[in-house]
Amino acid sequence: MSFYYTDLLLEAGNLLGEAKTANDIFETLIEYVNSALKPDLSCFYVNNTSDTSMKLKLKRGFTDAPDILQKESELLCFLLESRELLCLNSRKISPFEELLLNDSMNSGIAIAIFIKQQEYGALIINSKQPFYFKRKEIVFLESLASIITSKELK
Amino acid sequence: MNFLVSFLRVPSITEILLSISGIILFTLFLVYFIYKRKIRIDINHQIEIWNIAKKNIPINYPNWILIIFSSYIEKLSITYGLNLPVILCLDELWIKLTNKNGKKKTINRILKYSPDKGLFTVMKAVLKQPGLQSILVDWIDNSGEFMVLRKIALSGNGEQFDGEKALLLFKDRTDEIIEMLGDFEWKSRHFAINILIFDSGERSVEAVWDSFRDSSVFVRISSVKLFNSDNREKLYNILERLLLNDPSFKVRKAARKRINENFKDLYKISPFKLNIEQQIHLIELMDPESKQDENIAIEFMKTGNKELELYASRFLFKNGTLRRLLLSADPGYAKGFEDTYSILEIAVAVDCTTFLDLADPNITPGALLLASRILIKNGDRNIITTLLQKVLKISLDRENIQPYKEIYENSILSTCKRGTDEALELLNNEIKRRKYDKPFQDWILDKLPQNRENIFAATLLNFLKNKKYNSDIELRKALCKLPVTSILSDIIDILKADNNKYDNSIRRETLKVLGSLNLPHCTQYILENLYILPLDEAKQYSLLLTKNDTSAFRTKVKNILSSGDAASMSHLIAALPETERKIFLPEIKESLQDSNPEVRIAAVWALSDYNNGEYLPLCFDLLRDPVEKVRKEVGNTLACLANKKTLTVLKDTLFDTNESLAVKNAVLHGLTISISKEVLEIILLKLEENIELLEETITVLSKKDSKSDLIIILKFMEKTTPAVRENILQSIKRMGRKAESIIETLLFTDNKILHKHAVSILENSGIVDLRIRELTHRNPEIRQYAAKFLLKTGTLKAFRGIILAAKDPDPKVRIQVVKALDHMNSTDGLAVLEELKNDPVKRVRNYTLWALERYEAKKLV
Repeated sequence: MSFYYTDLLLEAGNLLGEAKTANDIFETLIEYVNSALKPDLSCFYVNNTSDTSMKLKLKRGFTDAPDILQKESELLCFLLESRELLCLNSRKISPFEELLLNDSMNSGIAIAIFIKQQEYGALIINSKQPFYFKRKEIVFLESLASIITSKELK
Repeated sequence: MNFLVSFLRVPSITEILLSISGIILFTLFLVYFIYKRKIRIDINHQIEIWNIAKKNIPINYPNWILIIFSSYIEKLSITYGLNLPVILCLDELWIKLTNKNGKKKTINRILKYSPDKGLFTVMKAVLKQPGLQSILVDWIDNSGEFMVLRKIALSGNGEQFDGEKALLLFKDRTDEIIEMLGDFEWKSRHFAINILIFDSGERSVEAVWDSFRDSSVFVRISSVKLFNSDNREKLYNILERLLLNDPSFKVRKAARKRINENFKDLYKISPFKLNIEQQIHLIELMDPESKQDENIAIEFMKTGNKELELYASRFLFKNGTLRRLLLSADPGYAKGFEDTYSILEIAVAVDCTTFLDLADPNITPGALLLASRILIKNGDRNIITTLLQKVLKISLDRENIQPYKEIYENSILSTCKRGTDEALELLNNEIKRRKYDKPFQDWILDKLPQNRENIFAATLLNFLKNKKYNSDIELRKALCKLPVTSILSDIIDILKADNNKYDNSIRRETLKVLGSLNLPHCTQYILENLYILPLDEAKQYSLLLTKNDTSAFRTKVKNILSSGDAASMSHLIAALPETERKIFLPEIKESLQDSNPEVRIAAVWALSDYNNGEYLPLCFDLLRDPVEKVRKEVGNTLACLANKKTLTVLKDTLFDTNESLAVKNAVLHGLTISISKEVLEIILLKLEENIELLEETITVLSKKDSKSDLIIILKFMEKTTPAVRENILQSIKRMGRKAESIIETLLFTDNKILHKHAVSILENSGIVDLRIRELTHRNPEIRQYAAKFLLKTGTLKAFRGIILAAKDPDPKVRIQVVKALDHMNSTDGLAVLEELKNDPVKRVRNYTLWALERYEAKKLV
């Protein structure tokens, strides 16, 4: 990972340490992801345990994104079950094509956000440019999610 | 003569037949006459009763006789000037006959004698037989009744009838029928609506629309069932309103049926936009065959409203969903399994538990797991017995393997908390079967119910008498939870028995149990047997001794301390409680110099923590006692205290270059016993010093095998030198399987340092190799765990091992293979991934696509 990302990660780690509520965490997360990866669209979908869908909570970018994603979709099923980062770097027939939130997007990356084993939502980032997300972006995002996973809410 | 001859001759057949017929006729006539006479007598008798009581009493004859004598009774009725058919309840028989098959004669009789009761029946009969209609019409015309149709309606019980035919019969009386809708008697309104529904007149139609708001359930039901209108949407809206809001279940049911039959195309109810009452009404009448209704009910289960949950549970039980969910639960699909669990748990919480029947011989482990979780809190207690029977059978020798471990433990917990005596007996047998399994015994003894001494007391006492039994502390606690009366006699018998009957260790344990029972009336007995305990354990009874008669106790202590008997003196000094030590302080201090090592050790025990360690320096001197045992005991005592002062002395002694190895060894020995974290740090520092007592320090460290100790040790490994790490690894190796199991759990933590060292330890100990071998185990759960373990290990060796499982029949194992390949991120794995792209299981294919995408992305710079 480049120094640029390492510094951002350290800074985000400090700020996340200060976060008192889940909302603070999500906002810090999306801000840092947006400034670090500079994607065309970053969305945080929040999980409602009593509902079958996730609702769009935070969005950065001028492109439209769906207001809700069904938890039964292949995308969210996979993210929640595997807890792994999912990447789709070009538009193609894929069970995860929902990852590209808008027709104008050509690459995407997503990860489910857990805090102390509880699922809080999913972060989805898109770019118009194909093959936008590379190893360092994957490692950065995984590290950030890992920091959040071990976070204790005050 | 001729007469005589003709009389004696054989009669012809005709003559015989004629004679028989004559006899029969004569007999019948005779019977008729007798009955007629008897009936007349009985009628007279009943008339007398009627005159007094004015109460109609049925005449007690078979129906066919009454039918034969109906005309005769009518004649008598005229003779007496009384309505005999009503007084004798003969009219009821006529009504019954008319209901079956209306006959003109019977109808006439009803209309003549009992129109109030039988009019409605007569009407129904004439509607079936148009030929008889004139009788009723004539009767109505001649009756002179003001509201004759009302009279017909009230004579019935609100039964259904053919309204369409009735409309034809009463076509001239439509106004009268419409007026009946204002009647306060529901039977009258019901009668009217049943007819008006078939009338197309504007007033009638208007009246029927209004009838949906009628106060009578029966009127509303009739309208719901029979009314048809061209304005289908209006009718549907009314039916929907009734389905959701009508307070009567019967009306709602009729509305639902009607909608299903005629208005399915207009059905548009959104269940989640309704209020609670409407949702409840909807659930009650959902279609058990409908998948959509089943999904709605499942969603209702998640609303958190107990009332809705109750209705939804009952629906899901009736249509078999709860049972199906239970039987098809697959713990391998964690999310689905947890969802099922939460639904079933909600159902059970509202007392819908019948679906938890576990008698099915093919019940799956998943179902048993769910049932075991649920039955801990709720559900029929008798099911727990079945559950335990099944679980003990399927989990035999797999009690520590997931998911059997959880099923097994949950079943036992539910048995302990809520099991019947039968289930507790099964558990008792299981406890006996696994009596030498220490982790199990430690776990279960703590959970046993307190008030079931009838089941467990004998078993626990047998364990106490068993030298090989090794869960002593938990056993003692379990025995102390039982009523004293159920064990005291046996305990005293053990202590009183000859030495050759019970081993000393058994007697010691028994004495400890007796001490723990806290019985003041057993103090004398404890004091007399205190010598069989080690000194440190004798000390634990100080609390008990304070509860005794103080003056008698002191006299006894004084006598023993001056007796010179080393064993008694040492044990008593060690056991003296804090308050009593002050009284006997001079004697205890003197004992520090006693010639007997046991007495010196006891004195150290008594003084070490007395009055804030005022006499500790006296104890420190004994670290240099000529007897090794005393040195070690003093080391133990001081380490057990583990306060700042004693730890400083112990640390200084251990690292003092001028101190003898024998003294340092005593200190190290003491550090073995202490559970303090500071003590562990001293041991690690000693190991790091690496000058002397290396072997002893490694051995001492190998005793620190709790999870918290191991975490500290692993963290220490990070900051120390490779040579020290090697020594620590040796120590951990000596800890054995227990420590390895704990370290295995640390693999699954997020702490990178712990993970790193856990991996190196597990690789060294051969656990990784074992797990690789387990990938070919016939049990899929073991293979799944092995794959997960290897994935978490994350070393090349582990990954190489896991890839061998790419053809495993279990998709969960193949998914772990895909994950391992992703972690490896090597071109070697691509071929395997390409193959897994065509896996028959969709989940595996999805994981493969995920891994391939990541592989491509990671290649990009």
